[in-house]
Amino acid sequence: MDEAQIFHPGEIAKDFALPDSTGATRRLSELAGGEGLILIFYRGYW
Amino acid sequence: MAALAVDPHERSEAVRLRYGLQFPILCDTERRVVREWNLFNPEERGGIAVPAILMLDPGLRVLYATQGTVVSRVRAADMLSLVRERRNPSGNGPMQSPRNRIIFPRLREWAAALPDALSRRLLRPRKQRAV
Repeated sequence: MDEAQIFHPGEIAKDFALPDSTGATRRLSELAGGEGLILIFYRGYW
Repeated sequence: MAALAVDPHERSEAVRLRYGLQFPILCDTERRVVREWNLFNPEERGGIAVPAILMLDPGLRVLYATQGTVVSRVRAADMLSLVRERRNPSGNGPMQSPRNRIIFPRLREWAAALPDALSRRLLRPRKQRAV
């Protein structure tokens, strides 16, 4: 199965801000600050 | 840890509460980030996120990235091993990055998913045909 790479290790991800499910604005750099972050993109719930 | 989907925030909040998730779910309802990050799948349900996992350091440097498909993902246990190895290197040399594996739902998962789908009217029992 093809495993296309979205990012390559070493690249810097571009920061962004999005509302979370409670309506609070979350910034990627704040979520990652401290220990780093595992960010999971998922297809959604239906 | 954080999750991201294009679902409206009510739906993501329902997921968070239903599973008691201790991390935020980001709502990319405008599909802005998924497009920018090349993780947009326009083919399904008005456009959704492609399943993917990124591990970032505090400076947003990518330590690990993987893109899944509908039927293959990196297993949670493999991700957990990667996190543990980064925190406490075992000294056995660089760890192999986890790779995608085909998902085979277990019987137990089918058993849980079916009543759930029925209760939310995602599946409807076929009407009995008049004989």
